[in-house]
Amino acid sequence: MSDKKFRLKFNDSNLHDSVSYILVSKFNIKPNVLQARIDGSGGRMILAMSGAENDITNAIMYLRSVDIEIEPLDNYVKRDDNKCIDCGSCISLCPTFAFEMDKETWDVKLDTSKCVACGFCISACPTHAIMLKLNL
Amino acid sequence: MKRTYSEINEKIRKRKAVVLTADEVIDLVKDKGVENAAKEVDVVTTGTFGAMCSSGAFINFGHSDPPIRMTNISLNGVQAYGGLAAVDTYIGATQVTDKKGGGYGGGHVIEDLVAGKKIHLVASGPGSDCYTRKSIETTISLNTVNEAYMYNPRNVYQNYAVATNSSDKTLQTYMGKLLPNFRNATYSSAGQLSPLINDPHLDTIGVGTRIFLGGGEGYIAWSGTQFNTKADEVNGVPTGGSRTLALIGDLRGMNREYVRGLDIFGYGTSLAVGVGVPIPILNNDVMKRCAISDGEIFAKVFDYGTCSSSRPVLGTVNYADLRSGKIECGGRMMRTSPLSSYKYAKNVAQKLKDWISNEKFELTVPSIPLPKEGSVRGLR
Repeated sequence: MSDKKFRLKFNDSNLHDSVSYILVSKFNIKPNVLQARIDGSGGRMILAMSGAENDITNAIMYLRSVDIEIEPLDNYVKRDDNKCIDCGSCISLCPTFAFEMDKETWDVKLDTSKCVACGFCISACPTHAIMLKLNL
Repeated sequence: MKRTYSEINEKIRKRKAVVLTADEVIDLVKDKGVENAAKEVDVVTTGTFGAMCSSGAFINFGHSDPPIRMTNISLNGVQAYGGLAAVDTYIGATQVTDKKGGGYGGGHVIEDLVAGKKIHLVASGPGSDCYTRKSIETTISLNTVNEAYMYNPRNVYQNYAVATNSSDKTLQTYMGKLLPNFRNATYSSAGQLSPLINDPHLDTIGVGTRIFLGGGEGYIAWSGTQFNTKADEVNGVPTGGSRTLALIGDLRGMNREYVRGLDIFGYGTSLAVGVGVPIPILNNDVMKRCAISDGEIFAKVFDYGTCSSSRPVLGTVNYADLRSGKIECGGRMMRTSPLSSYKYAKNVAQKLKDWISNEKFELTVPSIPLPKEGSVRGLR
């Protein structure tokens, strides 16, 4: 089993496609739409896929075949440790519990795999230490 | 057991002083009891590192040729006070940049100064027979100025509120982002490490006490503004904001690690300052008070959803629970966030311990004690 996040771009020809339905019914993938937006330049989506490695690979090939641009979303959330003061302002704001206080070292730990890119912590960080690169 | 400042300093000079941090001493007192611990320990070091908005620095730029009496002063686009003598100024932590977008303020200027960075100075004045020049634009740094010292009118609050939000909107406050409907709570004290919680009635701390300030040496200058001795107490410690200190120290010798500009979204800028106060173990009573632990220190939970100087109190919680990541208050579970860094507070206490253990830092006898009484007035 694998859990991955992707950035998808739709155009006029595929904007009406139900990606979630296709992923579930054709590829046995558990999709989770984290963000979605339609504007003048088409549709954008941040999508998490959970499933077998092979199924995810096939799903990516399928989506590309219907002209949906898809690229893996890596390192979209970053923390500048030179700026972070390990205060913990971010901890109680994160809906997915991606931040955690290490009770031994009192470091604030960030588990990027839990992050769903909501951005709620960004403005709450008093030292501007957290960055979100989505290009959604 | 009785011990004097001079006995302690004698031991420091011989590198024989036993120094423990305020969190280390908790277990020692539990294991050996107050009296035995007091015999063993000479000094307990405390520490805190968080937003201290009432902070700033005095700077003297030196005179240009021809000279100018500066009345409008800006440092990296942040206004500094122009009502002192010709080239003296005070830059306050919460003064926000004039530039669009904000995010930078007096606290950041002070951080940049301490970091040794160059600062853009723009100043103007009326011009006079003795100060003919009317404007100047140049760069300064900690190396070029005559003096630069921090003077903070109100630091190291003895305990503080826990903030939550009853309203149905997210609030952007100086206590951080408060989610709607009590979904989180924020707190700010360093609890068992906090300087004024370990000597709650200021028996050993007074004007002239030498301290750790921003990574360098500083002194307690006076009682802080809004100094209050009337707060409710549990276990001999106030359950809300009470005593405060005014602190002074040279920016030269400070370390950027412990002097950080903050941008608190929706509120403005501030300065995080690392402060550590050494507590001489003069008697058993001082030892006993230093051994207080997070589970015994309580703070009131206030509803910041009500915008009034007398916000409703929803309950009282202890710091062990706050630090666990969630509290129960008024039948509700709330996730918690600290706003001050416990990691840095520990580092401050450890660093001060190292200084004292390595003979680099002797204790000073306070010149005068801080007030025994103080209360806070409102503004009509």
